[in-house]
Amino acid sequence: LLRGAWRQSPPATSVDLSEAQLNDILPLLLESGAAALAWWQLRATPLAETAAGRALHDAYRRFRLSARVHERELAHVFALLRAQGIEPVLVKGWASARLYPDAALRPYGDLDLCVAPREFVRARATLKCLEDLPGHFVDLHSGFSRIGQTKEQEGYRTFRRLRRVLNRRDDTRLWEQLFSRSQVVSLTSAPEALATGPEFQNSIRVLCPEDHLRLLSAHLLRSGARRPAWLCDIAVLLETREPDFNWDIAFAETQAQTRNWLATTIALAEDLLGADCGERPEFARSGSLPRWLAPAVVGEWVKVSEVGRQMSDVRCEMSDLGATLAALPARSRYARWHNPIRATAAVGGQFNDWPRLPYQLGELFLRLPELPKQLHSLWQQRRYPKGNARDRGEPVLGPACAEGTVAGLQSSIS
Amino acid sequence: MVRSGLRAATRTRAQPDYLPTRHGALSQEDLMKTSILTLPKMRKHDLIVDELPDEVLVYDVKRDRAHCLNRTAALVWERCDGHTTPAEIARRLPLEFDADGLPQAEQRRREELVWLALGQLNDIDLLEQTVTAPAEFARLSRRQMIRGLGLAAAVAVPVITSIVAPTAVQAATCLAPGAPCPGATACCNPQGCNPGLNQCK
Repeated sequence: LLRGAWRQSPPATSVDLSEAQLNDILPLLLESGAAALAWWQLRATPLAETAAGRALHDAYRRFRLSARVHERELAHVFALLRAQGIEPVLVKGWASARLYPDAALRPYGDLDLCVAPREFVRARATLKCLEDLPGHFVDLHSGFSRIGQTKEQEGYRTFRRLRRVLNRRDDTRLWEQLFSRSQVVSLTSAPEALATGPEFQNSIRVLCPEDHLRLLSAHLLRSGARRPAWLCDIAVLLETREPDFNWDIAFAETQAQTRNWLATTIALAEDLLGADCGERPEFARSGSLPRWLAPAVVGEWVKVSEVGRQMSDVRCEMSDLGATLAALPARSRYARWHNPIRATAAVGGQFNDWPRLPYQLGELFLRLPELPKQLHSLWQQRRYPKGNARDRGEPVLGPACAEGTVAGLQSSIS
Repeated sequence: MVRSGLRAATRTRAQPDYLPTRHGALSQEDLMKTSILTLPKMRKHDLIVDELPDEVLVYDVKRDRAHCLNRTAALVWERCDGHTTPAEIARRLPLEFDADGLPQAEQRRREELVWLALGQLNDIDLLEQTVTAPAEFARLSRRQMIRGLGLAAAVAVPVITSIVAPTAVQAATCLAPGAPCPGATACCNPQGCNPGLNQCK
C-alpha cells in the first residue's frame, strides 16, 4: 500500500486491496503514523469512500493541522535561538516533510535541532522556558554525531566517559563540516498561515540533502526501523534530489560501516517501498539486501502497534510491583532485544547475511549496567500513586518565562 | 459534531435605523426578518486555519479542539465579518452553489442554511459572540434541511465535524515530556520518567 504513496500521483497499480483487507490493516496504519500516506494513495479509489477510508482521511486532516502547528513552533523556536546568536540546524521532521507533495503526509513528533557543541549549554538554557509548554518539545542535540541514538544508547554507562573524550574533537569537526554545507529554506508550505512578527522566523536552516540522507539512514537503523515514515523519508529524499546531488559527499569521509548503512537503507527503500533511486555510482549500491533485513523491517512495523498496546497495559499494572517486574522485561524489553536492526546498529555492526545473534547479545551486554537504574525507576513508580497534574487541576505550565512565550505565540495566531 | 437546532432569540431590543455593511446600509426589512442581537463575526484569535479545496480545517489552540467545516459552513463562516446580516450572507451564497450545478435554492432555504451553519459555529465557539436566531429559524435540523432541499442538494447542507486534535506521538523516536511512560528508558528526556505522575519528565 505504501509503495510510491508519497508521489504527487501515486501509482494506481500498487493498490490491490479489498475493503476487508484495508479494515484489517487500518489499526496498523493509524498506529504507525502511515495513515495519511495510505489515504493519499487511496484518495482517488473507491476505497476512499469506505469507513476505513474515512478514518484515514480524518488522520490526514489531523496531520495537516499538526503540520501547521509544527511550522509555527519551528518559527518560534528558531527566533528564540537566533535572538541569542545561536544558529540551529533542523534535522528529520519538517526538514523531511518539506520534500513531500503535501507536508501532511508525514507525522510530526518533536523538533530535532542541532547546535554547535560549544553552544549547546547556552541553547539548552534558552529553551528551558519551553520545557513545560504543551507541544513545544525540542530535542536538542550537541552537534550531529549522536543523532538517532536513543538516550538509552547514549547513556550506556560502560562507554559513556570514554566516548565523551573521543567524540569531543570529532563532534566539533563534524559540526563545522556539515554546517558549512547546510542550507536556509523557507517555511513556504502555507504562506498565508505563517506567523509573522519578531517572535517568529520563517527561514529555517536544514542540512544539505547529501548529509541529511546519511543522517536519516543512521537514525533509521539505530532506531530499529520502527516507523514506515522514516524509510519513506529516505525514499522521498532520493526521488526529489536535484541533478547536482553529489554522491561523493553522501559517501565521503565515512567509515566502511557508515557506507554499508547508507547503501543498505537505499536498497531497502528501493526494495520495500519501490523508491526510484535512478542512476547512481557503483559505490552507492549495496548489491543484494541481507535476506533477513526486509522481513525484519516489516516485522517491526507490525510490532509498533502491539508494543504500544503492551506498554499501556504495563502502565495499568503498576499497582502490582511483582506483576510489573515480571511483565516489563518480558514485554517491552523483548521487543527491543528482538530487534536485530537496532542491535546491529547499536554495536556498530555491518548489515550482511551473517547471523544477528552476536549483535543482539552484544547489545544486551551493553545494556546490563543500566538494569539497576531501570529497576529503581520501576520501584519509584510503585511507591507513588498514579495521576497527573492536569487530572488534579494543577497548572500545567511551569516557569514564569513560559507565560511570555505563550502570549507571544498566541497573539500572533489569528 | 452536528447540532440539530438553533436557540431561539429570547429577547429583542430596539434596532438601529441601519447597520453599515460593505455593500451599503441594510434594509429595515432585513433587520426585522433576522431580528438578531449581534451580527455574526468570525473568531480569529487562537485559531489555526488551513484551507483545503473542499473544506476548511480549524484548530482551536485555546480549547485544543480541531474541526472540519464543509464548504457551505466555511463559506458562511468566512462571511461573518460583524457587518453582514445572515440574510445578506444567504443572498451571496447561491453564486457558488450554482457554479457547482446545484439547484438554486430560494432565499428562504438559503437563509435556513446560513442559520444552521451559524448554530453550529456558535456551538464550537468559532464566532466572537453568540448569535441568536429568530424564532422562525430556531428549530431547524439538518434532516429537515435535507428534506427541504432534496437529496441532490444535500451536499450544500452545512456540516461541521470534530476531529481529534493533532498529536505528535506517531513520529517520535522516543516519548516526549508528559507522555505516559512505562520505564525511564523510553523517554526522550534523560531524566526519564516522573514516578509520581507516570509521565516522562
